[in-house]
Amino acid sequence: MYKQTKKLDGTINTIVIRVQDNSFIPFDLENTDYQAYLKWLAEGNTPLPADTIEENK
Amino acid sequence: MSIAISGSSITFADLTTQITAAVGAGFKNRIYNGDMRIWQRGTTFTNPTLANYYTADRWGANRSSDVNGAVVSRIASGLDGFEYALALQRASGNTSAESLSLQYSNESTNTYDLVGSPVTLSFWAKTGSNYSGGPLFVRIRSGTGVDQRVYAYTGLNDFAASTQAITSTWTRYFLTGTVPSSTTQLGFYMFWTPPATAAGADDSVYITGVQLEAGSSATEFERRPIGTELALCQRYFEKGKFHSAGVGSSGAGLGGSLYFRVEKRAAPTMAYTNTITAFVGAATTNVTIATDSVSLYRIGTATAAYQYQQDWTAAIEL
Repeated sequence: MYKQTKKLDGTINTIVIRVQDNSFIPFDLENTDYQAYLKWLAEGNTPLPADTIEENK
Repeated sequence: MSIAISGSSITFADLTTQITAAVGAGFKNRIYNGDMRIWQRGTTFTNPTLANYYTADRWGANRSSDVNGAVVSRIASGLDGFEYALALQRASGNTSAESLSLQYSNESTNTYDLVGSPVTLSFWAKTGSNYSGGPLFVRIRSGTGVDQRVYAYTGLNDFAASTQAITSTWTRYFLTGTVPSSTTQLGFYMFWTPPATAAGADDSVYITGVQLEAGSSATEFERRPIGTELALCQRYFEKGKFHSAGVGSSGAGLGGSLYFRVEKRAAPTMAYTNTITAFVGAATTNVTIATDSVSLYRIGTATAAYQYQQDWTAAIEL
């Protein structure tokens, strides 16, 4: 399972969190973790929405 | 004095004598951490799998079908010239007959110049006192994809292979082959297979001094400074500490940037542990992750002198 992240301005960032180990995966096609994320998306999955600033306090 | 050839050595006009071919001299070894000195992730790994693959820096390991019962660890080699070796062990008491493998995947960009040329693999190995397996199966493997792991190469071709009997005495072994045309990735794959009986206390293969070089014969193992070897490995994995402190306010983003010692081959996956905080939220947020740096912040929870520190890892292995 993955979760989206937001920038401070509230827009969605090009980084996702892999929930199982809380690691941060950048959108870089040479990153094998990102390749796994794309495969996961292609299988019809959807990431969790990003936390809000209030939730991150 | 002119150049003099005597037996198997050449003496030059400056009176230096060379006993091995100059082919590939200087960073001739395409294997990083071939002498098993760099272990940034730890020095013992129980049950490595394809999902939890890397052990010593740049070295992957697993058992067939990802079954449990393998241990990879750093040991004092006891071999003159080598401080450490890697032990690939079947855990004591384990009864699985699934093979244990040690693997190395070379980055594609370090492969192209070898296409069509002979290459030679050399390594030292010995068995543990309760070794139950037969010979080592050794492969120099090519592929036609880009930056894949050696077990999953597109166009996989074991263009050099040996079934190598090994003993309990350190011995250097060799394997030579010619890199096929169209090769875009090159790796080393070694495995041994135990019987389905309970493993003893030291059912292991020990290995060090792994070298893959251009040419049809093995030359002396290349000695690189420890800082150089570490930097080579840090292109793929690095760890460090991040600390941020100042006066912040509730709802503000409080953080900074961390800079890698070595630029990564691509933007790495970041993980954070051992966090200590004051007046900031529990969640790290990354603004950017680049090949040379990361920007990150946490949300302030009060108008106060905040601080947080945490350990980080940056991983961009193949």
